[in-house]
Amino acid sequence: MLAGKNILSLEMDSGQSVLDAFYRVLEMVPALKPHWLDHEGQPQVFVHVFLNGDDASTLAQGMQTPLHDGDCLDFIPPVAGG
Amino acid sequence: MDQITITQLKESHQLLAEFQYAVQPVVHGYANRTLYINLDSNTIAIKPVDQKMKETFTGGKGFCLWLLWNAINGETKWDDPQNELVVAGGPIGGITAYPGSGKCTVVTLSPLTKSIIDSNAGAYFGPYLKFSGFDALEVQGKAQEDVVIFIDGDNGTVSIEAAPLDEVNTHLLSKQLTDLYGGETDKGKRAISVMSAGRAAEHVPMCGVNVSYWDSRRQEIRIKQAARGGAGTVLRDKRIKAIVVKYSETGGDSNGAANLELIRAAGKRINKEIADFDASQNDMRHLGTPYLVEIMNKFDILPVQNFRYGSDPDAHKINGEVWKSMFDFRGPDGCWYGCSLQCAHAVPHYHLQSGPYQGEVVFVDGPEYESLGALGSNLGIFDAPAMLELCFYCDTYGIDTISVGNSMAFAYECYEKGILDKQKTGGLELTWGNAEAAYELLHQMARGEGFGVTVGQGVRAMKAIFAERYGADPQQLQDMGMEIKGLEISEYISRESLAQQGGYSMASKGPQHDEAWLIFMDMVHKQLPTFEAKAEALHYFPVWRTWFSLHGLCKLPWNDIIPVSNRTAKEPAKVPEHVENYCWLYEGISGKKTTPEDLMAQSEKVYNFQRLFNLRMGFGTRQHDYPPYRLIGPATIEEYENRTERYDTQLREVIGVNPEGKSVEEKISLVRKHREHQYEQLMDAVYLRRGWTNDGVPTQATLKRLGIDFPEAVALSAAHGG
Repeated sequence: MLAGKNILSLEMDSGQSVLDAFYRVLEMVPALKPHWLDHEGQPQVFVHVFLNGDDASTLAQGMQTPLHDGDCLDFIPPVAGG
Repeated sequence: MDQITITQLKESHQLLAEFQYAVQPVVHGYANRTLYINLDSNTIAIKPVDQKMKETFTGGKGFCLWLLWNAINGETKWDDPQNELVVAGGPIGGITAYPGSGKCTVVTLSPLTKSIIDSNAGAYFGPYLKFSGFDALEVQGKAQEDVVIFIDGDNGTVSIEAAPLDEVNTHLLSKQLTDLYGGETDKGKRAISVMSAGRAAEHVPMCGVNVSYWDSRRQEIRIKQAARGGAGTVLRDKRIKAIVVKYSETGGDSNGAANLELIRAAGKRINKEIADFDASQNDMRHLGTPYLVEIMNKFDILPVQNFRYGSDPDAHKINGEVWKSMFDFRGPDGCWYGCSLQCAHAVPHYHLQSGPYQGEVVFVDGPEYESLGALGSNLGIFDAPAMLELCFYCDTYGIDTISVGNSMAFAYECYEKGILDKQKTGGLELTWGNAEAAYELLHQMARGEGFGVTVGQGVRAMKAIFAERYGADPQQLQDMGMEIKGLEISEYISRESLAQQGGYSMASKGPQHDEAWLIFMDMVHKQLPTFEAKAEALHYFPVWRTWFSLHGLCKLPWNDIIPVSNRTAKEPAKVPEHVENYCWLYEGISGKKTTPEDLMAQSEKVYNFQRLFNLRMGFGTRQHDYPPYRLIGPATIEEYENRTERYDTQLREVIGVNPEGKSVEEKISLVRKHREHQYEQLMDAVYLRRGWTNDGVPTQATLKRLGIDFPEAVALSAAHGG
């Protein structure tokens, strides 16, 4: 909700990856940059990206996993429970 | 009663006993004394704390367990005068340079589980008790009339006072006693912390205690809860209206730290991290724990309709953003001095719609995620004002929101299934989403009348009542009754996380998330792929999480904010940089060089001792570590059909059975057989890792390794095959 909305539609080229989508979101919503990127422009360790419900870091190609039409990405903070 | 003046209240407080003592400074985190009060004889006494007690039990919950162990025996019942209410902070608790350092733990024999319960609360009671001169307070016996216990750490006086005119409900009583003992100034009121319960604690076993502090920015009494397991019911059973502690001189070094600079270094590191990253991470400062509603809903973990389902399209009506627009942001929200996480939010100016205070405008602490899950989604009530109504009355009546939410949800489902009807509920229509019925159930608990009193007995009691009185199928009730060990399960659906099933079911006090919250590690991040990995997590994390309650610390600054160093951490789930902070804190307090292994050793002793204590009370073995089936898998046709693809896929790919052509009942049975077998295997692995027998009993070798091999402990272990 920091960006004023919590759902965005992305149009990506064929073969582009989860990481590409991550940066595309930041282009669309620059206000997120200080929260999602570290001083070197890398994704912060605490931003968890999920592709169709799976933690991207657990996928074989990680953040380089290619996207397909209709894929859903979620960006989730470090949830710790109670 | 609202016309009673402070002068009248003061005059009515007949002094029943008074004890004077010399207030001594805290040294290296310890007052080195505990306070003992017996209400049968109005005895007030001091007990020494020796080095052996500190080395074995550390403090906080450890001290509480040890004092209670010495006060009762295996035959003691929760409402025997012999039972005690024991309260302690901990050696690190009370520092002001590190966030989350004001917790206290309450331990007693539980009216819900009939075994040992521990529950913790923020606010000022724990630190003030220690600064007043006591590492713990134990209250035994029962008063002959309603009393208030007043510990005056400014003047070195403890008194037991008759309290005939005092209110019972917390929101009124806390104000009365803060005014009475704190006077009219902010400084005076800030020196007061009140522990109380409420009217429902006189009638139902699921009541906790509220712990207060004065919020001078808002000019309001704030309350935090040690809600779980019935400590408030024990409080009122002893005819205590409140325990009040007063201490005016809290400072940065009230804890007598050996190396304050080391504590400040840890504080500086975490405070910078919170300032830099909280807004980018969980935004606890603005959202508090309600941010979890949306995320749990997203991952199918939010309990809906008595844990049948894990998500609901209406969940957004009670999620974090809703509360962000309602919370009172007039200044920081820390529940102890110096807490920069500031997650203790509240909603001002709420107009009550029901009950004895209908029409009044009140200040409502919270709501927290657990309350929103229990009283919101789990009852199908997705309405923010209804959440405030229910939370306010739960708090002021002393009712645990988790236990009552699950109990109501169980009753609502029984109503849906025809086990209950309007005749049996006294005319209440317990249909999903019916908030007015939930209000009335709470008011009945407080009045001690109607069907609310039955619901207030908790899920385990209702299972027996409905089977006996109404001929309900006991197995059906067992499968859908969301309790373990007699305690209602906190608000996460664990069906797809075997580790979390174990976390809940093998927890010492019952299924409370503060001991083991592994659901994201296991189900979402897939960091625990094997039985061995799950068992290791179910060894490490419950022991580690126990550590916070030994020291009077809040767990949230450990892993609700993540440092950049986690990027390269070998075991990021443990948050190594923060564990190092805690080493610095303990070393700063004690002056002893401290490693992470030292912290774990402190905790593992107490963790195993609590298991032994359960054993002594007739519990603490494998048979008591089983969950209701709904926690493990789909118990009903509607649950299976809600996620047919998931379960059919498991049948096909994991169990090796083609689901085609099989009835839903057959598929439920096959999934159940597989999942229950998995759970048995998990128990085997966890017990082995913990150094317990296959029946869940700490072995004599484990007791010896931990240095808790005193004769009665060894005899208990030996008698149970250890």
